[in-house]
Amino acid sequence: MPFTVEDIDKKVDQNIPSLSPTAAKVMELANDINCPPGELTKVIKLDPVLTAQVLKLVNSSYLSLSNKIVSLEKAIILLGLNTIKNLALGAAALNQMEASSTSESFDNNGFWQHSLAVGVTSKLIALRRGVDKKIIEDYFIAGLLHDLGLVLESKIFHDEIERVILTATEVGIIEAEDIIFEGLNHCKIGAVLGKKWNLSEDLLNVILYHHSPFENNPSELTSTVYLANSICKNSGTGLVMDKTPVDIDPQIFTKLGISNTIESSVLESLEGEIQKAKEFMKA
Amino acid sequence: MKIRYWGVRGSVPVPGPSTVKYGGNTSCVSVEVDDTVLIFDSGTGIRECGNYLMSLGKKINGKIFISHTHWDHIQGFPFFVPAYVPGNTFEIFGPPSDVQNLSLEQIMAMQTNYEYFPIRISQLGADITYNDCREGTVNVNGFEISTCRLNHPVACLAYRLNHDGKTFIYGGDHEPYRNVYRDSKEGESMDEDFLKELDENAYMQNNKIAGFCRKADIVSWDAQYNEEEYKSKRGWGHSTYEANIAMAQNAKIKKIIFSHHEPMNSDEKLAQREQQCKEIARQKDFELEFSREGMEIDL
Repeated sequence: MPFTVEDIDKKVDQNIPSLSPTAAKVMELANDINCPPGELTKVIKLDPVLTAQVLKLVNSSYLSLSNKIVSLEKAIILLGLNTIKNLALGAAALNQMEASSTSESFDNNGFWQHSLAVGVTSKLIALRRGVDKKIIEDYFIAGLLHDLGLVLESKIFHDEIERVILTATEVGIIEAEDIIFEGLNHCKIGAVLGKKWNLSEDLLNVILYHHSPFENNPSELTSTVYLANSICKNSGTGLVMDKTPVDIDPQIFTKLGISNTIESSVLESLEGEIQKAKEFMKA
Repeated sequence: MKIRYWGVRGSVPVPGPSTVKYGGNTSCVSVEVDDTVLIFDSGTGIRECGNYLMSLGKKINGKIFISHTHWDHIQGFPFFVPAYVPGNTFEIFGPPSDVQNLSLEQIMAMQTNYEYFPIRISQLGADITYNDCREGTVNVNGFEISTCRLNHPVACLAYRLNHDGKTFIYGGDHEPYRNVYRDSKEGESMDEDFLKELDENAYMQNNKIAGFCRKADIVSWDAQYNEEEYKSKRGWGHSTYEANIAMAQNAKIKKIIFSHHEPMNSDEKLAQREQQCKEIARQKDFELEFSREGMEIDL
């Protein structure tokens, strides 16, 4: 059945819960009156939905900043710790109430791990490239949020998502979405949500073009997230819907001015970072 | 314009012998200009404001500006008699909740849920409309009112009213911005350059507020604590006498009125502090006064 961007536009006003792997830790920290700001930032940074919601709130409150990606530390100063706590609690509570609303076939834990892995990998690539440290966190946030559309897709298309997942193992996620939704995919869905949430133009481009790295003259940020996403998929980190490896276009390495050996060197650090995140949430 | 203070207390109403001079009702200020009445906040002080408006014996066309929806700024509204009278009209402005995705009307209605109050907000006799308000400028009956977002644990606005060459600012609750990572355990592991950037963000936000208040004739502002009291109340969203005196000087404010008094502070304590603050303001060449219930100012 064909679905359009307009269909999605009508549905994005609903509240979107945080991800289940982080919800319990968020509840624990946000309920603690003496929770240090650093701990709260740390757990929010592990959840793409919460991170996007904080950016939404900052951008809707301080319109002049909406063209930049704002770090979570800065958001806490601009919006106040209590506001961030309330936002986090709201989204985490929604997760507990709406646990059944996402399709059982959608692997929440795997999705969380993949988002985090792409965030960490994007940052690692940027560090290796010597990107200005002032914007290093932008790379993490962009990687973390690149698949935001999948969260909404699995919520809105409760029944169809199962068919998407099954088909993706044969033909890849984008092709599968094209077959099931006839023209719509998680990139376009994510962009509609991101636009509604006032996310910056840079982030919208990452969300929209992370599967088509040469479309619309992509920024270094989009190219980096494309590469990070491909590396994580090929290494099987977190949820990988399509089973065929991504053929990374060699032009990406030229564009970013790095060697293709970066793949193995970032993977070494990645595993340790994911492990640290898991331990933090269990602590 | 005629400015009247109906409620000056922060957090919770505190009636009793130790609050007779300054008053125990929570926030409410009215400004009358010709036939229009503008009301800022609807704490318990709005009840007496309503009784005053009813005593004028005329139809009321009022504008109510809610700084934010914490209880001490809305809890008097169900007792505001003019809202029950058919023929009266009220336009209510205030911030929605971007955190919970609730409009101002939804939040105001929640306090009269069946379990809390016998009458629904939708049953009020007056013609009432609600307007979600963020930062910007609104024109209301020829009055230009601009808003500025403040630092409080819920969306909170200050309102700047310009009329006939005069400026009155009503500030909601506000704590000066600060870098919460500076001198904290988390800050120790942060890069000094990044900490400086966060310092600059806080400085920039404080400057924005000072710019909003710049050269105003009267600024009515949250002054709940002194520096000593503030030490244990950081992050609660309120300001200090000391910070406000610095802002008044920086923004070249002509007169600043300290309000939203801490409920624990008695008349005696507030009178003493008012004298001390007035003396500092006199030396720095601006006027300063503590708000009192029943206080009237012609501007």
